[in-house]
Amino acid sequence: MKIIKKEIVIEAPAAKVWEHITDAKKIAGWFKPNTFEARVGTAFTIECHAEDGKVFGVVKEIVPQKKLVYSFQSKMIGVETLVTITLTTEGKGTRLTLVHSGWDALPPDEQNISDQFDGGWGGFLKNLQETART
Amino acid sequence: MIEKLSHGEASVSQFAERFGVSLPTIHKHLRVLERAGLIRHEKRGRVRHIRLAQVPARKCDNQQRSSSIDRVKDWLAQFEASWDEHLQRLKLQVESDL
Repeated sequence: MKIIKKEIVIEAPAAKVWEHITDAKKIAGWFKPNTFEARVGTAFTIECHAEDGKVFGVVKEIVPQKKLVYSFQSKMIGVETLVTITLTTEGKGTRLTLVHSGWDALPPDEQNISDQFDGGWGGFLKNLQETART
Repeated sequence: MIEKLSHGEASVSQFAERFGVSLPTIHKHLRVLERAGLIRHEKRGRVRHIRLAQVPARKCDNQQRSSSIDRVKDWLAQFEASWDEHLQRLKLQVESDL
């Protein structure tokens, strides 16, 4: 099972870290502009790179200062993945563990594959039309 | 040509016939496409068969799947790298907010 797992220790109490991972303005500071709202069931978007388009998410679980789970999906990803952030106190600091899972559903369904190829091939073929015509 | 190949492979002479051009002309076009990595050829007996390199016909599902898996690996690597970067920024941001 493929997951992305990242851990980082932040020299700040969990309450402070929690603010920065749940407040839209603060999230924008380290991630991207977004419409995040820390309420279970709330949908939000995150602006990503132009080629990825927007990321769409829904808040799935909130345990204040301990755990935050949201879905994470974009046109490029093709399937709904899950981001789980847990905070544990470690000395005077906080260990933040981020698990990005749900990649097992990939490769994307046939429809998605063809969409992606369509897009990619579109521009490629346009250039080629000229070359191949000569 | 590509559009025709998207329906399945074809022989060089089928191409020449379909487009109403000479064999040397069609060879020239196919060399351009092959150099661009868009098509592959395979010689069976005296006949040269042409197919798309990356977007295969339906019967080549396995190949399509493997190239999409490669793409997925690229995305995963990108996500890994981007989470690293974002979390480093988060750490700096939180620690400077105390």
